[in-house]
Amino acid sequence: MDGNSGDTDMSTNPDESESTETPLNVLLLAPSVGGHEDEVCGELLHGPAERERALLVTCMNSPAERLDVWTDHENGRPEHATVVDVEAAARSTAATTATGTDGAPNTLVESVDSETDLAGLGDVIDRHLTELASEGETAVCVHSVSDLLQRAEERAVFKFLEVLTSTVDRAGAVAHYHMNPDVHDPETIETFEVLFDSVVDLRTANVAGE
Amino acid sequence: MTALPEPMNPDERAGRESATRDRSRDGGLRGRVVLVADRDPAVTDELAAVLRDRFTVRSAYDSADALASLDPDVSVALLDPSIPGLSAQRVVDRVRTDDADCQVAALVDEPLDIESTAFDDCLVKPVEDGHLTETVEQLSRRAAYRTTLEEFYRVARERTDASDQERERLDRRLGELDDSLDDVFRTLDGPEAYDAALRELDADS
Repeated sequence: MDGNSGDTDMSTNPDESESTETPLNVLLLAPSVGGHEDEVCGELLHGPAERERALLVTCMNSPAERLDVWTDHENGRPEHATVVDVEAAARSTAATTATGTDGAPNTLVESVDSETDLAGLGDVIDRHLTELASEGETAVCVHSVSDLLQRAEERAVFKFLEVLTSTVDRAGAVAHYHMNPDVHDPETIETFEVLFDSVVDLRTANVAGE
Repeated sequence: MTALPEPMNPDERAGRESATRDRSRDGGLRGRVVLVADRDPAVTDELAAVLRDRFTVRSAYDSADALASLDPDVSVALLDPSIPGLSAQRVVDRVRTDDADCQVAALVDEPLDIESTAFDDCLVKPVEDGHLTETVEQLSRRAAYRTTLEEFYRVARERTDASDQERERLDRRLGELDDSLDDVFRTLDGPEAYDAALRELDADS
């Protein structure tokens, strides 16, 4: 918990350039307690190449909380961050340019109407992803699959994520998707695993790493 | 220092890569059935004749005919909503089920605001041949994407309580389906893919 040394590499071979080795779509299984979820999230967002563009999708957390994870990283000073705020009903209703935490420049928060279905949410994400990715390498964080499963049935969320992972792939971006294994049955986790290039399980990381 | 776990690989991607990729460019559109029904039988025949070059075509000349022809084999239907008894709602009730998947375009005289209707697309008559074929191909790809994605989910679910032996077979199937999805996805833009994947489910909720 001493912060990150900056040399941690998610790829299997640190010598390879990350474009060929870093898994594009990663399922991050983060239990309710422990597991250094935020640190790992920050690592996955920035990567060894210190990406400067992030698209953060949030449901239960406020945009500021997600932006903190991104900017608290020791080298984190993003050029561009866009937050898609899914459960924004209680907060602002229109797209606003936020000052961001620590005065992060170029931070945009778009709140998605509570009536918006998954296809509509997909369109919003797609628009921002296309825009960010056209300017440079972009990292995407979806927080979280578990929250999406509160909003829609499993089958629909599964299909939504298949399309999303494909658009991430096409945009040349990298993405990770938080899922809390404590609140789903193992069959649900196993079903969703097939959608991703790799799975990072912080439950086993705790056992091995501490 | 935070220990970062090694990524695991749940889907044996290496094994998937070896799956044969001999599908034609149009991702298996051949054999897909298109239903055509215009209130003018001559127009119906004209459109059907153009489409027969690439698709298996059924023609219908009234609403009873059209509704009877809308079985699960039909992946694209071109229907004239001005045929008595052929309202958009009746057609959509008929085609939007889990088993049957069909994309429906309205044959109209004036452009429609598609967003406000249950139709997936519209074709304004007279329809130019190239545009007709292109539209039906695109709708057919969307239908293929939906059907394949539905099976992908079903197999992924089935795999979770399969025996080791079954699992091997299901993994291979998942690999094939994944390749098919990738092939079709290449021909769709993002919003089209979301719409093709999720529209029916949204309508049900």
